[in-house]
Amino acid sequence: MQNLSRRLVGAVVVLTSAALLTACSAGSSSGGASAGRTDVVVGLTGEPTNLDFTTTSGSAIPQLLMNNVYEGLVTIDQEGEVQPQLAEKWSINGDRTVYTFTLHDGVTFSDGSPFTADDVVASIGRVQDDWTLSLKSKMDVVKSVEAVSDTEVAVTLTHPSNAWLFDMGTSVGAMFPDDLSVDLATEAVGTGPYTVEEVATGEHVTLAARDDYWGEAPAITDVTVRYFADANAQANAVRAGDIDMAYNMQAPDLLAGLEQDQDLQVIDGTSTGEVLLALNNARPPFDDLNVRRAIMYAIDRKAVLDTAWAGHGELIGSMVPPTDPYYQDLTGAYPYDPDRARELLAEAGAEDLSITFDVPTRPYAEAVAQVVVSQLAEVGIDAKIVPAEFPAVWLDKVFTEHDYEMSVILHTEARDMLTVFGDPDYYVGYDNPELGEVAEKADEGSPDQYVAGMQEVSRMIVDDAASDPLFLFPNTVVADAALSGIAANATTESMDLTGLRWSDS
Amino acid sequence: MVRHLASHAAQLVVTLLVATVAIFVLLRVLPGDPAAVALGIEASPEALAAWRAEHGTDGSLVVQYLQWVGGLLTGDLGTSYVTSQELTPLVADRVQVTGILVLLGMLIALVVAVPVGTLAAVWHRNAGGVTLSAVSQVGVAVPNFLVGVLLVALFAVRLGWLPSGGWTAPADGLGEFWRHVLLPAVALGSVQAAIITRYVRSAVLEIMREDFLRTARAKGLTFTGALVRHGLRNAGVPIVTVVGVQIASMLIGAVVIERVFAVPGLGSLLLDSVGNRDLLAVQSIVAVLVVLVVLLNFLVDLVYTLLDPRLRRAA
Amino acid sequence: MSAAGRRRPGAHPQLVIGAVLVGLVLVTALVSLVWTPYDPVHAGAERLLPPGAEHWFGTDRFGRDVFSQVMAGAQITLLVGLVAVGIAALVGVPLGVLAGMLQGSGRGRPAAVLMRGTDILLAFPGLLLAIVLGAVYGAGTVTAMVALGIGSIPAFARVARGGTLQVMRSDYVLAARAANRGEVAIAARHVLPNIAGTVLVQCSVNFAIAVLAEAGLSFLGLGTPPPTPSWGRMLQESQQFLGLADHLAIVPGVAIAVAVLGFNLLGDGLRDVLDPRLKTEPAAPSRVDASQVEPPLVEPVETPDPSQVEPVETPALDLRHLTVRTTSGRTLLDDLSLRVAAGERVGLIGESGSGKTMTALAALGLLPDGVAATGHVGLAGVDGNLLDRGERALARLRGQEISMVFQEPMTALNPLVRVGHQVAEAMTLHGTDGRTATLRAAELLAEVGLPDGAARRYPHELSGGQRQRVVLAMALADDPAVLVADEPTTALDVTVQRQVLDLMTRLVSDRGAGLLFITHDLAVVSQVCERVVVLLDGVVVEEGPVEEVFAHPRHEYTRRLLAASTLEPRPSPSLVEPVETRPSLVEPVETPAPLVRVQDVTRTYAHRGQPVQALRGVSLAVQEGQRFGIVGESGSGKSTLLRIVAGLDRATSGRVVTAGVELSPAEPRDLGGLRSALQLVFQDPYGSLDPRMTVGDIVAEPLLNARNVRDGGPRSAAGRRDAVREMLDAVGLPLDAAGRYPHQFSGGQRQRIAIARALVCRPRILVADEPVSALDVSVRRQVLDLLARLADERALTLLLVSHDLGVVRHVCDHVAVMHDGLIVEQGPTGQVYDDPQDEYTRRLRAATPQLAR
Repeated sequence: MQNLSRRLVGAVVVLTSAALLTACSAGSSSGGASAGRTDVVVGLTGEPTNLDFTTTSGSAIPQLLMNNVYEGLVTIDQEGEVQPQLAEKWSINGDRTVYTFTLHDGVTFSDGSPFTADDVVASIGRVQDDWTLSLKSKMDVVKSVEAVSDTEVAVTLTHPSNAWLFDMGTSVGAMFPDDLSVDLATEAVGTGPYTVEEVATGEHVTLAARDDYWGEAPAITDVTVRYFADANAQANAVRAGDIDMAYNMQAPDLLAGLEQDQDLQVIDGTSTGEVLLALNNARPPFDDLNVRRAIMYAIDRKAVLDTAWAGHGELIGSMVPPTDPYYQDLTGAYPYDPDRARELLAEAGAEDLSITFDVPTRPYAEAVAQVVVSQLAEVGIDAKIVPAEFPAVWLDKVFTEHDYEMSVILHTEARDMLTVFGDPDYYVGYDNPELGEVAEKADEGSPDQYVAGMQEVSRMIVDDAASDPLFLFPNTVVADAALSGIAANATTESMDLTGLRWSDS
Repeated sequence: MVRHLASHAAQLVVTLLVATVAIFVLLRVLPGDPAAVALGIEASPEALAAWRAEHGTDGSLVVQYLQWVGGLLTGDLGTSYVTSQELTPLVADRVQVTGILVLLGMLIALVVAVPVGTLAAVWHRNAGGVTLSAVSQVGVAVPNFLVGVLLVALFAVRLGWLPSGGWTAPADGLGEFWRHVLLPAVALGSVQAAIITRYVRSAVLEIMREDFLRTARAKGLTFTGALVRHGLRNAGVPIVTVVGVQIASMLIGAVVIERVFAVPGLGSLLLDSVGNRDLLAVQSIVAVLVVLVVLLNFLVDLVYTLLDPRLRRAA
Repeated sequence: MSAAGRRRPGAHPQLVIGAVLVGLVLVTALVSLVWTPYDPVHAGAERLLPPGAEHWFGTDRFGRDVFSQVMAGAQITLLVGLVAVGIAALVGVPLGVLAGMLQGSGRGRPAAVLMRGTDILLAFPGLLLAIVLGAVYGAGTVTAMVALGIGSIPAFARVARGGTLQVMRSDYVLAARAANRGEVAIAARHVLPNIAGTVLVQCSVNFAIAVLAEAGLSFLGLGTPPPTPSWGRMLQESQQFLGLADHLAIVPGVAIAVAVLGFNLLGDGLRDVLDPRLKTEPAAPSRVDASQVEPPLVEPVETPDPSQVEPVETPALDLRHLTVRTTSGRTLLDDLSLRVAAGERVGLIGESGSGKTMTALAALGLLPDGVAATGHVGLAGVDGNLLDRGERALARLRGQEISMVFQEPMTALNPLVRVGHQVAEAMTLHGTDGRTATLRAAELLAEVGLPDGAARRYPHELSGGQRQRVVLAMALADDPAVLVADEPTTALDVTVQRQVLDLMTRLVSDRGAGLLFITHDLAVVSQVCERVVVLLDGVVVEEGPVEEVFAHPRHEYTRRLLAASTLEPRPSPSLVEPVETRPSLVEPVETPAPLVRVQDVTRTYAHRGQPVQALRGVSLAVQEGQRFGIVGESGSGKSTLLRIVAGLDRATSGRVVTAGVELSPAEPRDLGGLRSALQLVFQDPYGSLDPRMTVGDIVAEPLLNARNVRDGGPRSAAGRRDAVREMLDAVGLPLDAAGRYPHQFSGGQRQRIAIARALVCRPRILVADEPVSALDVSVRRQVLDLLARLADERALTLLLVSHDLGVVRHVCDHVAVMHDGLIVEQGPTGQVYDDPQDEYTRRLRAATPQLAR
């Protein structure tokens, strides 16, 4: 009797929860009176630990601050093209080593001080002297910076560089006041349209529009950026209408449902983030070209994308996203061919290969890894997943110590092919002296030569199967349907909020 | 009673002392150099050395420990290595958030559990009581994050009545505060309600066998009257014990609910700090949690003495 | 959970359901080791398939078979639970047992340090440890298991310590000590088996906690890493698919719930099965066994229905044809009729289990659950049958018209409420206003002889006698027509008993109330009552005026009861020389060295930091072959003295030599010789036998230590078996008793077992501490006579402690009277009894109820 009633209760609980779960599928409502709003709540995962991207690595800080709080002489637009920002215009001398920038007049920092050529000199100098990140090497090419006048700056490079001007549109090109007297970790002083109003750790950062912005004032005056530790919480928040825009959504399987929702818009923007199946070229078994190629054949990248990330993203075949000028379609280089993979493994004498697979504790990485392991098992490779807490453990073990065989990581930085594969001391351990020469020539050559040279570099890397760029990570944005001006393409790390506005309809 | 409290207070101090040493020793073997995490992966050795000197992580461990504990005693938890934030106001803020959440959750749990548990005990022979115990049994078996996820799915996403998460401090608007705190508190409280119901039930069952309840009836109280007037306060002692234990475990257990509802609580801060290898923050948060747990036990002792005159003996 | 329901075979639904659910998880985990329908980690099928024929529980986002994953996930769940519980139990239980045994043997300080140490762990809940350890050693299954295990150590230590302390307080551990068993042997044979049940419950509960915690950790990404399937992570990953593929959440959710529910139910079920209150239940049928040794006293009832015989006035209380049965059909009272006239004092006597208390409870409508009454209960001035009234209507009568005093003064009062308030409540409940009630309560408390200000006291601040006065004041507060008193003085000392009885008699006659006085003590009845009703097995066998019934008992049972209640003095032994009353003055010139010699012994305890003097300079000497009695009331120090003489406690100062073994506090001790020379029999036959050992093992235990076995004693297992058999025979137990367990025996039989255990290795001295105070009158005599006979047969020196002068006079030739930590008088029994020199002895003698015939 008691027995039976217990069972019945159990059954009832199961049924109710099933009904509850089904009820949730019916979609949601959000939006409402949006016209005239001048505030927006943006949801992000990956909270910045502080505000100082000159000493703290990672994309979270520039994502929040670049273009919104800090500006550069130039900026990178949604198509990946360099556009003027603080520099009204610029000229290049004949041997392409001297850039002369003409600065906008009347630009002030948020602390009220005017932006002048001296600030440019100081900012670039500080990258070279004070920055502690590896990014600082991007300014190695700068020989000298001179203030020609208050509004004119001349930058002299040691050699012509096609990459440098683009880099000036990223965080290394951010302009700071020359007499920097604040703690950048807690305060941000830039020329951008917003200032950081409040940092509530673990919760949100609020940005407020400046009254004295030099350019066109943004339509949105109050931005709240809420941070979610959990991708599902972020997705729930946009579904429930608690946030107006979920930027860089990390729950791809929810998108199909969200796309049905009339009140929401789902945009798959491009990014510069390549999900790279990194192979340690400096160590067995991946010091063997055949083994690396076997991996390339063994992995069905389409299936990886479809399974791990619900098909959101793009197959790229190389470390070059389509928004880069030197993009070429190399996706056909290693078609999915498990038989070929097994042959190559046999050639290498590496049947019954057993490897460890250091996987950072990030949703995309864990998802990708589980598919990859399944596919590798098909060709007889036993890959054992070892979780590496991200960032601390992964950075320490894989990135710094190079103590790994295979890993998977999202390289978000723009134009990072050479960063990853151009340096034999980088964690991938790919050592190809020829590549350096080609790359250097390309950088110094004309724009056309640059494109051709970089394409050659890209082919060399793919040919050597240095690692497997699985797919280009999408910058998925889910937003209130009434929100427009969303810069969904993450061509740099920056999340540009300046164009956002509420449509009147 | 003074003596009783004094001896407890002495134990409290010793416990805290040992606990801080344990925390310190445990965390000093963390993999990952705090300097490297703070400065980024490719920081120069000079920069690292300078950082260590600045933050005092190059001194001897004893000195570091003493500095840290000295700070704790004066209420100064230091400045985070990673976020450069003052930890004291940050942690205080988080303690408030988690504290509100936990206390409200416990309140909800008690409001449900005391009457339900009592009824389950009084009706322990009939179908009603058996059903109540069965429901509480099943309730105990449900992970609280599942409750949280379902609550979000229903009340925030599907019905849109309440926000899916986030937090508003009471000072920033009571209306918004209640809207934000309701779902996480219910999620946290519901499982606790099931747990406490079971304890209330067994405590009341125990009391129902007591002689003095029979005495009370013999002088003219009905069964219910005797139970309410004489039984419940006596059942209070075991219930206070379990409430104390549960609040202590909820302080850290709330982290799961904090994650589901994106509530910036102490547990979330701890997880984030562990992720950032924010050594000092982790150390200090754990220390604060330990202090809270130990103080809570002390408080439970106090409540005992208030509830039970037998413990008030001056000896 | 009904007491009656639980005893039905297979009536532990929780245990059964719990075991089935846990078994399900266990079998699933085991099967998954060798077989799952699909490879649980291989993404082989279409993703997000709903449950169907091919994939019973569908597939997940990677196209893996959910059924296979859940099966394999059971492994992790069980592994985490097992290791976590294992760590906690392996560390916590020994710690707790050690602390409990240290404290149990008086070394409180190291025990406290040990427990404080584990208490520090309390400050680190498992989840916190898991997060921090995860940061140090990397998150994962191992970290989670270890952290959860460490986090649970204090819980196990506490449970083990509590259980151990309880076991250590039991007389069977004392008996094992007295049998010279080592601490390790005691831990292994007595402590561990007896706490095993509680620890098992804790294991089960902690298993459930571990399963939930693992799920939570996996949810936070700190649990089992992918791709190893774990229920918690499955649930975490399912969040994205709510509404899209609900089975992904339901399946692991239900799996977790089933496992947790299973372990919790198993724990609850075990707790119920192991409940000590229920363990004693099976003793009831043993009354049947008792008939083999204790000859049946019951004769077929042939007395006429007393209700027909009695002269009928207007009875204050009128019980007619009262029958009380349990729901399971056992008859507790059979057609009982009984009347109490106004102002009349009626005694209801009978042994335990005869139905006395049921009669009282039925009269007040306070019968426990699972017991129902038929017949008629009438009260003067109240219409109709009380049995037909509801609780609310009954409550109006209780206290007002009929009230009751219970047996146990220590538990009859609410410990949290001041006694004045409790008395006043009896009046406010029946309409008196609060202020009047408070004043009247103070008056009443003064009237029952409590000091000023007693109303503000809490029950624990009063002595047992004072509490019983409070209960009396409460019962008489509303001047009820009938007072029912159920063994109101059984728990009190003789002198206090006398005062309370006098008080009660006076108050009842002052108020002209009827008294139904329930007791097993015929002497008390003869003092208090005018009329007596004899109850046997729920049936009234005899009734009449006290003098008449006691002088001319008609029924065989009454006769036996009377005979057993009369302990005639031991005939003066001619062989034993009377020894001077003050042994300290004795010059041991010619007399042989006494077997027990105690000189100026003091013993001071620290109780809550305050010194308490239990013995304040005691001297005595017991000669070989003497039967030495020690008499005193509770708190007189008699048991302390006994324990010191037996080497179970140490004196604070003075000199003690027992059987030639030096026990003085200043001297080093070698108890080996003492244990073989001296054995003990304890007061409570229910607590002195390890419930988990067979009677054979219990009796044989002293033989296991070779030092206890004197020349010619048994050293082989077979020899021990023979010795046990011989001993059981000697104490009058059937031979097949060796294979049975203590709970299958009655109290008297258990005391025989205890005697057998004490005598199996042929000691010279037998120390008996209140050996019959827990026994019914009819059995008491038999056990005393057995002791006396064995002492003669085996040339034993007997040292007997009792609060009952009559018992000592019946058995002993020599007596010492103790009061307040001192021996106030000692000498030959007859001399002390007939011509007491000390004031206290005289009082004691006067207070001892005499059976007036």
